[in-house]
Amino acid sequence: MPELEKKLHETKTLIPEVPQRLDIKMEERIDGATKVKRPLNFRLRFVLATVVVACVALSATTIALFSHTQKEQKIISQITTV
Amino acid sequence: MTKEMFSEKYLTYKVMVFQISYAYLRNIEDAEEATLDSFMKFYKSTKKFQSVNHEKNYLIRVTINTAKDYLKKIKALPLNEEVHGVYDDNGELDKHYVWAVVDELEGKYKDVIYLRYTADLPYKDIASILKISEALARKYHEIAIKTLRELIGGNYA
Repeated sequence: MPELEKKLHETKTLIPEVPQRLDIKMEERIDGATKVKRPLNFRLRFVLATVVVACVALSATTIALFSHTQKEQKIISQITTV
Repeated sequence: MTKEMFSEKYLTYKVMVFQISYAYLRNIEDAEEATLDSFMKFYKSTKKFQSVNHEKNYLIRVTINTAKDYLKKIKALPLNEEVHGVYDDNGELDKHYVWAVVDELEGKYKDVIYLRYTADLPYKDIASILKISEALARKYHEIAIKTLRELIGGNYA
């Protein structure tokens, strides 16, 4: 191998050892990321469930109101024809 | 990715990721932060990998991009105070000087040099990481070596 290439390989020895504190910091970050994830997921689920329930309730109310109005109109039209 | 799977990968690649980060940043604290950020991006990634090699190359690409982002923030590399001259006490080419000269290279050539000599990667992987052809990776290496020889001068020109 030419000397320059050999020297380039040797520059790797200038890189210090991986600091031991890196493992602890990594664990802290991973723990932090998973802790943040859980309440978010829970919150998202709660919001979604609330939206679904609200939508169902709204449609049920609309249907009930609409059918009631239709019945009333039917009765009125029957009375007027009689 | 589960926490257990990630821990296994972290133990396998942490030295390599730190070495690449350090090669770009030349400072332990910055290299440490860049390493942590690279692993976090890797952990949060939802990418599916075809092979272990594909996964490793993806992590290296993330590391390079993270280190370059840090480099933009710090704007300049710390001065290499270890550089005392072209040759060391044994009359051989000084490693600190070689590194200082590598800093002078244009980005794409520097990438090839770091991947080849710091991460010990074959041209095929270098090409895959830099998203270029293998032939172009070889060409970049050839140009980088030629430029380094010219910059060093003396017996190396």
